[in-house]
Amino acid sequence: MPVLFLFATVLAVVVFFLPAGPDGSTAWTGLNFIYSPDMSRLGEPGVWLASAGQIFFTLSVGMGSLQAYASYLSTKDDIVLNGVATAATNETAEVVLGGSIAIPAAVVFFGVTGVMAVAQSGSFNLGFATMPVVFQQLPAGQLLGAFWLGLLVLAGLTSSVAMLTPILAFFREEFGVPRERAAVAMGVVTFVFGLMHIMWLEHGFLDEWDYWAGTFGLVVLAVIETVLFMWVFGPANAWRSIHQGADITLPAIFKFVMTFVTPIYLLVILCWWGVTDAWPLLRMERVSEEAAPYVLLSRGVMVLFAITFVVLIRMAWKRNGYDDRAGFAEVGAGRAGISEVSR
Amino acid sequence: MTTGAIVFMALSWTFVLGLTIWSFWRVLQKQRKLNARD
Repeated sequence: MPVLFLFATVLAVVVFFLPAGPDGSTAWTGLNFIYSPDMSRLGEPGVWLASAGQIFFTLSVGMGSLQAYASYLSTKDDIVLNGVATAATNETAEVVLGGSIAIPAAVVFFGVTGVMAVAQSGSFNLGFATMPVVFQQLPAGQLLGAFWLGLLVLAGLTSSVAMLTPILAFFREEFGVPRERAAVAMGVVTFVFGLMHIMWLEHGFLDEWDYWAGTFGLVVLAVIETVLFMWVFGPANAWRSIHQGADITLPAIFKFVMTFVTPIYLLVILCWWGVTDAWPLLRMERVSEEAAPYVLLSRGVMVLFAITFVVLIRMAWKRNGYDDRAGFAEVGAGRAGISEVSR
Repeated sequence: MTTGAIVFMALSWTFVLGLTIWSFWRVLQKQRKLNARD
């Protein structure tokens, strides 16, 4: 973690001292671009969905990683303070460091119009395609490029471990698959499907996953988690669980926010998006004829994964004799699970 | 940079850096208390 921050700080300092680009743009032009939002875009549901998906993705909400981390805690651990520290550190990395590197550097070399064109050509082009070009034009560019890609690899690896841990735990705990065998199987599946994303990157294969799984899917799962935690588990139980072992108390307004504002806000975004954006996206109206087969295949693989996991969960449910009418029970000690479903 | 952009940037940086420093200070304070108790 400190190494990641060190890499990013060095890069941010280098970017701030870059000489002006061909059109006179500097890093400050890039910062001005980032911090001068176009308020008219707030009228588009896709912007709200993207921002909700972005914050859920970076905080690992709605993908099982937090449950994996939580399983290592005891009821004595302070999840309020640790949660605030984690979210704040993440925002420092994104807003202060991230916001001072990729876009300001790209603006210096390509100008604001060029950067917007690159960003619109694909979600990942700015980071993966533009930055190496940027580094080629810097003094000690190869070294700085290695720093940057090293940063991305480290961040990607640690996130992958967190994201795959719940699936590994699922196979181990529900089907008794040994850890090594489950890890190898997941590694093979990840490698094979990862290759598809790399080979067909320019055809939008990865962008489809980023949109439907990494944005839309996360918002849907976040709504389900919020409703389960605050409505099914109950606001009083949820509030008590959050503060078990905590030194600081969250302001009471957050109980109201979590119970009403968050689920209603997310449902409104989803309904608004469903009315205005869903149909053209599903019909692939903005997809070129050449990219259409890859986009369809990408969506097909996602649906296949979703169906497979629903079937596996149902199998585990039956195999282990869970009673879905038994409700939730608070765990008194030991693992900090908030919902031990009675067997 | 425009004044609006500078203000927006200063506010966001102050908020996230302030929250990070405060939360880490609390985490370290708690750790120190736990160590002293042990």
